[in-house]
Amino acid sequence: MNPGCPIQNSPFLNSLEGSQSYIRADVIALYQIITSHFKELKSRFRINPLNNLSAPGIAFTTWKTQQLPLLHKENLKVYDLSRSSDPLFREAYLGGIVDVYKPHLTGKGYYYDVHSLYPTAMTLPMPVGAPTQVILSPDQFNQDFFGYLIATVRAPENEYIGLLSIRHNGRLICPGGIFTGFFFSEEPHQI
Amino acid sequence: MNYPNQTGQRRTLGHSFNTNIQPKMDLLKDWLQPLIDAFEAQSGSGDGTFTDSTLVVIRNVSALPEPEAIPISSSKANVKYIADTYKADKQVANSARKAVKSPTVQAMKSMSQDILQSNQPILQAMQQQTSAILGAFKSQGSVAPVDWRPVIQGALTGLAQAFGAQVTFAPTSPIAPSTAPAPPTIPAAPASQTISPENQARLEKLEVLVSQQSESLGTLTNTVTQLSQGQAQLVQTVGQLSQSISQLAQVIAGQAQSPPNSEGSNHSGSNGSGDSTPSSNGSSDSGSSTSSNNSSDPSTSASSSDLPEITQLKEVTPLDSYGDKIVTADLEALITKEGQNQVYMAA
Repeated sequence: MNPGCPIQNSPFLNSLEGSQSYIRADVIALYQIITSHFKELKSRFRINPLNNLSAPGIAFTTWKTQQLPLLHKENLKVYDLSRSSDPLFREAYLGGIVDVYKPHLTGKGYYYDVHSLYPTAMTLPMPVGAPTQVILSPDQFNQDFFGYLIATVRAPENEYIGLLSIRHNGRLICPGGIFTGFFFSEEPHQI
Repeated sequence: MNYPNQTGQRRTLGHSFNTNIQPKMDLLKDWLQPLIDAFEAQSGSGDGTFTDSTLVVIRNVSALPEPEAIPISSSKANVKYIADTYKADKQVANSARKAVKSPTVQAMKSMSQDILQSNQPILQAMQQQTSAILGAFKSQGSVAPVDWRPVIQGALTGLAQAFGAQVTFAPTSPIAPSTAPAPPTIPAAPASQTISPENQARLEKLEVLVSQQSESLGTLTNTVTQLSQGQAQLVQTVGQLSQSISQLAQVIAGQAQSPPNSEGSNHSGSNGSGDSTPSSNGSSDSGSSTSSNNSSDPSTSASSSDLPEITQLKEVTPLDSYGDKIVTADLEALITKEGQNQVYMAA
């Protein structure tokens, strides 16, 4: 033991005292964060955040208070599909595929790092309203269809990276060739 | 365990307890109520709603080797018993599932489909035949009727002369046929015309023949009508039989497709993104998205009146300050061998 060593004298090496100091700082920091967050909310939205239990709950309350009236002004209705069609449309909701590639650049070019795709996507049109089932021909789909669809597609078989993913046997894959899946229309439209 | 709204979280509420067949409900209520309250307080959803109902399932652990153990899982004998029981139940479920997929069931399903397919041509043939018969009757009914009045008038005149009398008939207009052009009508016989005995005999024969033909035509009409009714009943019977077979096939198909238990059927968790494969170039995969391929899913064509609409919230006046409305706390606890959360530090 070296009483003069600053590391050994650190209260964090004493488990009980360190823990006490840690959780005290933890609750103070949490208090400051919450009050600051509520202060910011107060300056921008007329809601009472105390009625919510979580940050997503506050976001949903804010949307229903501020954004939904704007949709209603345009005679647009938003339905709660969480207890009816949610399992159906969730089939088209796939996570990102985490694959490790080793990109290389031959000659002159640019590397891009794309981020914030989720908030970017949230600024784009989304399907709303009551779901209506229709049967489409490929031409009708290519014209102006916007929504979710079950489709049989042909993906290039020799691409470097597959772009259209499906869930197969519990796994996400981006196959080449002909396969069937449940997609959001803007995915096959963009590919 | 609990099942809020049948789709929410499931969580172990408390440890086991001993009771007999006549439990003291007050004691049970005092023991369960705080556990339920604690669960519901921790189960608020993200949109601000709270758990409005909780279903608690109490399992009977008296069959365990050491039911006195607290918690139950602290006893190795209990753990082994639970594992063995689960394994046995799973084997039973697998056997049931294999039974559902047995060749007999598959053969019945195939046979039902064959019967349904074979019934279709029979039904169509019967319907076509019935339509043809009915059509023939309709067309027969539209033929221009024969005006028998001159003949009958002549016969009656002959009979009257035979008895030394004379009869007269008012002039009648010929019956106009329903279809154009009008055929030439037979002129009405003059009432005072005399008929020779030869013609009289011919008229009598003709009258008898006409009568016989009318009777034959009536008999034929009745027979065809009965045949048509019989065919209609047969078509109805075959239709009901086909419907019954179709229902039977649906029941069999439903049994064949329904899993015996829900183990491993939840795909709503991880997407497996960390275990994904890169683009499988050159491969052809015809896999589809399971249940979403059911085009008859009623949820896909639900009308707007069936769906709850998300309603807007009214603006409220924010509080001046939330500083005195917020309390933050942190509790550090250890789980004791008895299954209790022992708080040893708090801030």
